[in-house]
Amino acid sequence: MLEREPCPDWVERVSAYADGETDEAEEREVKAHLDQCPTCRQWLEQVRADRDVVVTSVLRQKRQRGFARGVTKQVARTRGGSREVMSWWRRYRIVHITVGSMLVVLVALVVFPVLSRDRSKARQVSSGSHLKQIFGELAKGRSASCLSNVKQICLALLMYTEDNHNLLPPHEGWTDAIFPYTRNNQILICPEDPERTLPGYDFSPALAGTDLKSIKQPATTVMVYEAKDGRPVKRHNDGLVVGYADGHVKWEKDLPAGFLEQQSLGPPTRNYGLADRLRIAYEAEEDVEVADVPVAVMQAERDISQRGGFLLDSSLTRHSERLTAQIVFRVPAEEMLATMNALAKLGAVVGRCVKGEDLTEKYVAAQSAVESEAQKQERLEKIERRTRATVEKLGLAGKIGESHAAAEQQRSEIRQVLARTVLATGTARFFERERVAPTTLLAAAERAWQSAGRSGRVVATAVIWLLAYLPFWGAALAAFLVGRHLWLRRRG
Amino acid sequence: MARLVLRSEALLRRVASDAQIVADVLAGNRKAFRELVQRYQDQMIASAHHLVGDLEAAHDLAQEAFVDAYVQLDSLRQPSRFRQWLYGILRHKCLGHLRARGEQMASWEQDVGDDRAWLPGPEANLNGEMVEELNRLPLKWRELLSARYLQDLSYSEMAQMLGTTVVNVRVQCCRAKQALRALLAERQVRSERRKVAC
Repeated sequence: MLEREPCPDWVERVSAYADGETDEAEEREVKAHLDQCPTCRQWLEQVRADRDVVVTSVLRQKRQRGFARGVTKQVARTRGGSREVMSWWRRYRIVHITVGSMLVVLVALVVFPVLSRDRSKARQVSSGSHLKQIFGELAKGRSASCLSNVKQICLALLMYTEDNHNLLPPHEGWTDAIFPYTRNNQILICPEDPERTLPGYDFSPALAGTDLKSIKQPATTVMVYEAKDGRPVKRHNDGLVVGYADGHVKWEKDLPAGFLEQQSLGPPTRNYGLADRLRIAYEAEEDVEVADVPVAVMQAERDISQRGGFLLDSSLTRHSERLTAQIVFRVPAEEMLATMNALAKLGAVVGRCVKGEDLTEKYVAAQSAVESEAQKQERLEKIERRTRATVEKLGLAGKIGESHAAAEQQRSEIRQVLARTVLATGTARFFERERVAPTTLLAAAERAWQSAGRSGRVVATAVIWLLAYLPFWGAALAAFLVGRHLWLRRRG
Repeated sequence: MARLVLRSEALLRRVASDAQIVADVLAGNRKAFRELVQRYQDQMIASAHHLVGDLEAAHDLAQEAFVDAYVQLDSLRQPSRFRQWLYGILRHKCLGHLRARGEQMASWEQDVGDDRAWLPGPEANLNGEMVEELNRLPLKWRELLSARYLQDLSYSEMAQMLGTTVVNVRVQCCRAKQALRALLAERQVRSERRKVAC
């Protein structure tokens, strides 16, 4: 029986439909066509039947018995041992093995140079088993111990500065200066030092007495280093442990270039390194024989005034044939020696004596007193502000009067403090110029202000205000006069 | 539609099971592989038989394919596609066998066209079985019918295996079906003539 061929345009789509390989839209189209075309419908049925014929006819063939067992045996025979090899490679893939090898190489690269370096060092230090030396040192951690020592010394120095106006200790006796903060002199001995030198470290002389804030780059400024008799010593792997001004500690191959040249290793002096803050008051005497005493007196007065000084006392006496002049004067401290030298040139020097007194600590104390006064004033202002805020917040009419009175009292205290501050500041400035003990002047000024009375203070305040605003008053007066003049011209 | 749904559920269940067994075998359990052999032996032997037309050779080829699959199991990237992968191995084995036997191998790209010279013709006196008749189909059609009917591969899977496009597979599948239809129609004509003669 020869059947009719399906529609050539549809046969492919019907075939795909029979295999379930059409999308929804195509499926709908094919179904619609099949509903209308009996030839294609018949062809589809035949194709499905053909499929069953193929499947059943082929699968109906008898399989050999024991096929699966045969395969298993063959598998066991062919892959007996290699399955384990395969799974081993699968488990430890080449990536893992490569990464592992790289790690081993990396560790070897890091460890072997260290071991060899320690070994060479151990050989230099003493004889004996190298391995024992290496592991002994690694176990004891001597380098780490030295780092810890320097770290503690740095911290002690920084703590010292906190209690001493940010100033580092003088170089002489720096170990004693930091002892209260360490309480242990063992940290001053390097564990690597066979001679156990005390101290096995040195504090940089360039930083002695320096203000910590004035160090521009503390992270690179050497503060403590391993040393013996003031000279740096390399005790650890041909290098030394160094502590920096910011407190961090590091092993370094060398100190910074030129570090030693910068150090001033001269004899230590009091207040070493305080040149910019040093306050010295001088007391001097000088005997000079001159040809013409009155001329020399005038010249001396000129020299003194040229250097910013002034006379306190001047007397001229005659003993038998000798005319003697005595001048008592004050000049700024920095001009004292120059003035004395200038006066020496007036004639022949017979005797000379200069004594200096260090007033630095008193000066610093006076400065801090001024600062504390300012802080006190600020605190009182804050109290007043708080009081006002509290009164406003409470809004209680009964208490407002009391608050006003308290505020008035606070204000008067503030005025007093202000006056004291002004006086203290003036006194400090005067003291700085005159080298006079500040406490006496301050006390005297305060006594004067207390004894002046209310009216005296009012008058003084008015005068100060008048003087302070003098330009304003002058301008106002000039404006008044000009206006009056113009007004008179217009009228007349 | 109901039939398709049932098939997809069964497929999912089987795929998951395949992956588990493959993982089990890779972990070192050699006996687990027997489960896979038992599951696919009929399909594989049938496909091989359909491709080479010799049942004994089909057994050998299927066995070799299973052994090769076991050896190369760790190169299987998607264990859930074990069946398709196994059929790929079998197909290569079968083609190799046919080549060794000296059969004319038509390349996949070569168009068979509508030349029906392979058809035995209504006068041929053939009493062979259906399988032998099916082997008269050109290799190209046998490959397609085996993949589609015996292995239940989708068009995209077939395209991937044969290294061609889905559209081409769709067209060639249609032609294969037409060829099969012609063959079976011819066989039917012969059997009717034989009945009449009797």
